[in-house]
Amino acid sequence: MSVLFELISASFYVAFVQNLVFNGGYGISEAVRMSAKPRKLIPLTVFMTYFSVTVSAACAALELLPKFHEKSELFHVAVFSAVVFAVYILTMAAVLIYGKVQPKTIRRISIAAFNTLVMAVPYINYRSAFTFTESIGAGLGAGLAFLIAVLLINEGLKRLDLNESIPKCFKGTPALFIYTAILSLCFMGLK
Amino acid sequence: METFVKPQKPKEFSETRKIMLSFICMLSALSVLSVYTYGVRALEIILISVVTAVVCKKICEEISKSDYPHSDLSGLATGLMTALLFPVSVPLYIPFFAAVFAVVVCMLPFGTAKNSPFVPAAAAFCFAVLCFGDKVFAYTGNANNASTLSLTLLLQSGTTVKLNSAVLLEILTGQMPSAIGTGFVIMLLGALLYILIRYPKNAVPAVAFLVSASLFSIIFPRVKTGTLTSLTMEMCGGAVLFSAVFFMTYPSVIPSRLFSSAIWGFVSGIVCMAFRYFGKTEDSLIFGILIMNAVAGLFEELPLTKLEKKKIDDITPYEETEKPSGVVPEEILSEIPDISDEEIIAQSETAPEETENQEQADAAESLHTAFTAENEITQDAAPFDLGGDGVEQ
Amino acid sequence: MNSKNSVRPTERMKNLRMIRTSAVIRNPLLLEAVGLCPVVAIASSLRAAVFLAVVTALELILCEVLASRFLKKVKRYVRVPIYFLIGTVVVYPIMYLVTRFAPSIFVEFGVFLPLMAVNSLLALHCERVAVKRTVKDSFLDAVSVSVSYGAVTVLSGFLREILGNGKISGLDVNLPVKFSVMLTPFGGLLILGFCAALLKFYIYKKYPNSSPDRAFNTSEVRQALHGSLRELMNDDFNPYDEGEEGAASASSDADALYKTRQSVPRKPKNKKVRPKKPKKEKTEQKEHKASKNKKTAPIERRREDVQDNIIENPNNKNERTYLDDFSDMLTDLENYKQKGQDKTEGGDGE
Repeated sequence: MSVLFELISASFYVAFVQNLVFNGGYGISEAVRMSAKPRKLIPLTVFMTYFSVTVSAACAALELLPKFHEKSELFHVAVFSAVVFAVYILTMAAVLIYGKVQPKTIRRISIAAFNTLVMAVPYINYRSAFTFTESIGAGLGAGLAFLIAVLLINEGLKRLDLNESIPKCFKGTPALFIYTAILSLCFMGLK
Repeated sequence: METFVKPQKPKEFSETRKIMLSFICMLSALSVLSVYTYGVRALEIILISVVTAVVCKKICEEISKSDYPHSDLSGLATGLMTALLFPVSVPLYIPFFAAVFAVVVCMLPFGTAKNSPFVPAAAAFCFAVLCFGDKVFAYTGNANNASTLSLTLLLQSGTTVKLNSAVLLEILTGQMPSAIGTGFVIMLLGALLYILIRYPKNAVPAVAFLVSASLFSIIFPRVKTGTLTSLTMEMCGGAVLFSAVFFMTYPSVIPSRLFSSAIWGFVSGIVCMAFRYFGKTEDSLIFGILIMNAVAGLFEELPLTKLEKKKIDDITPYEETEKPSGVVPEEILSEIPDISDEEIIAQSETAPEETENQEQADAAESLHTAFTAENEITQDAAPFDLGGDGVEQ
Repeated sequence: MNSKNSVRPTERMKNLRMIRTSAVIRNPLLLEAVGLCPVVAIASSLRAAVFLAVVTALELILCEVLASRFLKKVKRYVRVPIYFLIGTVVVYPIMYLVTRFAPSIFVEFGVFLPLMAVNSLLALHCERVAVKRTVKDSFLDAVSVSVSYGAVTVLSGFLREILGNGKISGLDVNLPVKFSVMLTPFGGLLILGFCAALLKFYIYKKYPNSSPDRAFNTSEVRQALHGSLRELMNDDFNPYDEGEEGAASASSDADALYKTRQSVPRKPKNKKVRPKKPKKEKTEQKEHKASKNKKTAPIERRREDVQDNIIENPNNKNERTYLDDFSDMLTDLENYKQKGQDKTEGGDGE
């Protein structure tokens, strides 16, 4: 029960209280660009959640080794990057061996693996001294944070797209950035 | 064709102006009360905020080359709303910058007040809270009550008040430490009643908001001295009533459907109270208002109720006699001469006076416009817009 | 001599046009929303912004040149991690030097220093430009994009530091009011929004024929989040799409990738060529019927479109009635034409 509570509280914290996208800026580029393609964002979010959870779990497992935990921050950074790379290679190997996957799915995997959100989660876990369960919760929370961010920005983009009274210079990314900025303001109320 | 609805813009603009005018009346009454209670300083805050907002709005309209000849009064309303959210001890530059933020960031990039996705005054207050923190919640006493402990501060610390008739009267008449415009409970309830009578559709989310906020405060009380005390302190403290009256009825953010707006109001109450309970500041309720502004569009997609479905079925865009049957009557066909397509187009390009037969010319002209209109129609995909689900407002 | 003069200006013009497009009309940060994370999160001071701009420039130039030289024939799912590796090769030595000689920068950047290796700007420009063009063009593109990205980053850092801290590069400016919220991602996004508006204003004034709106394609924004699974599987996914211009190249990329998956080259099959059957001569009536069918088919298809639209948007009665009117009008026209032609044939027959 306490394990479940740790998992849920960590994911809640990462998704709502310290929303990684709005409060931290992680993965905001992918969130803004994917908000314009709503049909394709859910598969990408699923893959990103998979990578963030797997990488979190692997890095948290390594942190349990006492010799690893004592190493410098630079060493941790290098190892976390290597873990992301290794998880990507293993995933691609599994996908290619399975063989029945379309090229579009392969493209999604590469984008989902190498982005600031997935890369940031193990660093955040390390700096916040999360336990193993909390690290997995943080990985789940990162995916949820991304989904919330993209859905909110997509909702705003739909509204801005229908708005004909936006001045010409603000149409497109200017109004969208300002809208996203105000969303970021909202999430700072819980910080 | 007469069945197409004319563009809505001028009508929307006048409706927005009417609502803003109502807001200004109510806010002016609150301003008078605040000046009476808090003195000249309150007047200074209000004037700075209002003048800044109006001037910035004017400049923004010039920059964006707005088509509307008259202002929709949203600048004035926003200035008043922003000023009334601050305490009397706030430095004057804070309402100034808040008013600038409200207009330049929340209104200019999104066009008119009708299309603003967020309530400008709410966003401006949140901006001021995050920039200037404690100064925005530095409530002071007034001539009738020297205490500096606001209801929200007491709730945050879990301290209760002894709810007797004197204290209740102080709370209802705005004598408790609070912002200059948010403490006058009776006045705010009167304003809500006015909106309920004048704009019942806009009042629905406000009422739903208050209902859900009340239920939340009853189910999860922060003070343990009784339901009534908790309810009174939560509802009368902070900006709950003020947000319900002015932010939950702001025309650009509420969903267009009645059912959606009611559900949205109800959920907003829960979210705002959650922000209040778990927020980092004394009263983080207004951050919840902004979040709910962002998700208002999702509530438009709720399934239709039986009443709404019935209303759609009752709308008939055509009378039966006007609806085309798909078959041209033979009487009309016999009158139309037998001409090939090329001849029709060639005749239509010449002036009708040059043709010998006026009837032939008329037929040629009508067919030519029909052929060319095909392209025009495909370019104009939606010549009218009645809102989200086609139901008339 | 004359031929050289006629070639050089054209190439110069082409290069200038490419630089203008990459740096201004399709500014990666302001108009395409790429590479936002480091700018929004860490460029909150002038020093950090300059550091970020320099590191990004190094990464981008190295990445694009190497991608253009060596990675054109490599499969895309192998290229993307290679960009990450190249970013790592650039960032990690810098991290080591910073940790040793300027630990304050390491503390200031925190988590974001290693995250610069996965800047989405690298992947986008390498996929869009480097693997499709020459090394020289890729280098020019990298330099122009780096300069524009760096300029915006430095401006954002400068403004945020002044407004948020009241300082310029650590020196106090003695501003009476400071907005601490400008140091957060909110401040970064706000400044980028207004900078983007200013850039668009400049583009409309200076290059009225260009369309900067194409840089951020919002044509699909109103699609539903859910659709049929088959549609989802059949939808192509190209996060580096170039909007209308790149649609053709994106589809060709998808085909090329699909073809490269077939690692074993297939031997050409000797197809048996069957003799073509002579076309039967159609009578005038059959031709007329065929043309009639062709003419009625589009209307039937349009009616199907209307029905589909009704199914998709059952509440949107107004659109249905509008399309219904249009299809009725077309039906009337076609019926009139048919009757007219039938009458003439009947008359000719007689």
